[in-house]
Amino acid sequence: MSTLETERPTRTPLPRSVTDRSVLALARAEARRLLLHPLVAVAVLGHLAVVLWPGGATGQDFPVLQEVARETQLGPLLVGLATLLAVNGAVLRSRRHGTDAHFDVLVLPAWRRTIAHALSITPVVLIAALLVAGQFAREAVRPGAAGHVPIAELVTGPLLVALLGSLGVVLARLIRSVLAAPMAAIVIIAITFVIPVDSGPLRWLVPLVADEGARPLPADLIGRPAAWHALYLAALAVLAVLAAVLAGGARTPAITATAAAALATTVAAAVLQAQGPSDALAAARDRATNDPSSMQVCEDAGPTTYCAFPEFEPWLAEWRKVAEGVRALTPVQRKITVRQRVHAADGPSSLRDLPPAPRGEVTVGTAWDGTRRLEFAGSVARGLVLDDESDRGVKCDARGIVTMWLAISGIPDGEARYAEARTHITGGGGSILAPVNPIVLRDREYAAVKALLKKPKPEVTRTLKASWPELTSPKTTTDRAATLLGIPVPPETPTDRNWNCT
Amino acid sequence: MRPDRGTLSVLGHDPGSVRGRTEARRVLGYLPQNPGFHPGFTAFEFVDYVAILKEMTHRGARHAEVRRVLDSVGLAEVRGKRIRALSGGMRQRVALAAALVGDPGFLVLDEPTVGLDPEQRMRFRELIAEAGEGRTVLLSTHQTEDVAMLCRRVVVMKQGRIRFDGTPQELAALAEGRVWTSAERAPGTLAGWRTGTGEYRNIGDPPAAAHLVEPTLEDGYLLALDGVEVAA
Repeated sequence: MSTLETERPTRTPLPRSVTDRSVLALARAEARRLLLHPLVAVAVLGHLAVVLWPGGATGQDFPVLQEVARETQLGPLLVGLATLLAVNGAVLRSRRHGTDAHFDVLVLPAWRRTIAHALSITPVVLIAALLVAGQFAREAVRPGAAGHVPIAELVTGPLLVALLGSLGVVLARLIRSVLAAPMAAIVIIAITFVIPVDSGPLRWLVPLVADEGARPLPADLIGRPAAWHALYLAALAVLAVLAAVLAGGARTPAITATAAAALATTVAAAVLQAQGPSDALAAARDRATNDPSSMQVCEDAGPTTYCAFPEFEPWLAEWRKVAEGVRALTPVQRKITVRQRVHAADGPSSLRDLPPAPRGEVTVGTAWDGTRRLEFAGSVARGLVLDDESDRGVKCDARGIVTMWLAISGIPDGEARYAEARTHITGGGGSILAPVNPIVLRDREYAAVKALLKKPKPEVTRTLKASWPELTSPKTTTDRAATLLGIPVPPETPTDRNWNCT
Repeated sequence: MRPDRGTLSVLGHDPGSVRGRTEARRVLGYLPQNPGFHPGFTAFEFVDYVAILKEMTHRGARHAEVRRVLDSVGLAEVRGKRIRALSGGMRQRVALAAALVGDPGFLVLDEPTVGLDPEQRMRFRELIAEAGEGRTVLLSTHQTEDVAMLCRRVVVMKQGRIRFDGTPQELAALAEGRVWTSAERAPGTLAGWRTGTGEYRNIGDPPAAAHLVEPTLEDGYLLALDGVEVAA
């Protein structure tokens, strides 16, 4: 039974801009709820905690900015996954609670509500951008920061949030089940962290592509298609939103045309990002590996010359402190060149794959921290004692004792650094993982070094300088060195005899 | 849905066109038969959400309007409470507030009093009566008491066809001379049941010398559904 009462005069039609403002008003309301969603709030606070963590996200005093930029992408991935789940729940809310039928007779149609949900992601994206900027800026302002600012890598984080949020919207429009988003999140985590990094160009289809090298490379040699990947993510996000809007019932030519353009852009960016290194990049990598001097800036300081790839110039003073610290313990005035080297011929790789530097040169890498300082001190000590980086054997004579003592004593916190480094080494003897080839001692020589470290440094330095030619001669035995340096040395054991001395 | 014949107009707007449908929605307030709610929203948030979907974009004005309609349905005190914490009657009032927000010119109330206890139903009738002042109200209901107490015009429909169109009094008059009481159930009646007095109340064509009684709106409704034609 129905009843009807008096009719009212017709109202004046509202302009289209009112509808657009309604979409924005709904987006604001949904954005507020999204930001207060427990998952998003926890993810954002977690990301903020990483940014504000004492010592910084990397914990490094000498961050390489292109590495830092890549590290800023993990936090947004987590925020994005939380956004995916939360916004999916928001779009499905009216279905879950039976308000669809009611809302469908209100003025804003489903497709405009879909746009509002997509826009509601914007504040989360902006917050992620701020957090990324904060995380990066905190590292970039460190006095020891080196490297370039890769904008494309930095925008990847916020774009990840935009893409995953958009995915949450389109999933809700296409699959009306609350299980779809959690399953999608699991798939994304799996393909991001399980697919091996050397799985070829297809890995760039994954939203977040992890680090691919053991050591930092100069920015120009990295060859990551970060800009194309950022475009790929942006186009995919737009495509997801438009697919959701179309699924919501919109059929305007403008939306259809924009969706087609987004699809074309996504495909083009996907293809372009999957292409391997260009010939120019391969040539630059080869030159950096085999002839780095042609790409470097150098600085003379006394008898030592320091050469670095230009973006690592801020570290020259650090290298100089270490090199002068080691040289001060010796009478050597011979010129040496400290050269920064990378192994980039086949993409990023370890310095262990490099051929040794020529005589007169010592190698320093593209990473710098406490452990690297000790390793570099070892590299300088070997240069001063042996002048031969190719010597990769075990030193069973005076030279080994002197080299390791110089490395440890040449830097202020050498013993602590060495003790820290040794926790990662199993087996007997002593070693310092100097660039290219490590410095390795038997137990016997290492015991001599330990005894030497207990003696006052000035006293040892005086003795060392006075007996330098003999102590650095390959003919001087460990026993003779112990006598010269006034330290006890244990007898040679069967284990010692098993080493292959050079 | 398109009309089989004639034209369809909602306060002057043609719901058959996209633009007309949008304009019709702009003047429409709707209370569904089984209204859904977002349980995590407060009463205020839910009505505010509906207000946004009704294109109320100015935040200050919208919030004032939401407070006004919540006050008008007697929910001012609980507007900050989550809907999951409200009783069934309160939720129904939230739904009415959502229908009223924006002061729509045309209000569609689908079975608004179903599931309410008598006290809540009385209170709701007051609200519907207030809501009906100055606007068109379409009350879709099987509760004839609501119709008798609230409506000026009644349309009885069965299977998409109008079986009656007139005032409540005219609908009740449809059963004039067709309702009687008897000691036994009369055969061939449209409906008959024993009342609390022990007598049977019958609806249909009465026998001669039957003891006719005053018909109710419900009697007229049953007869209208059965196909008795009466010109309003």
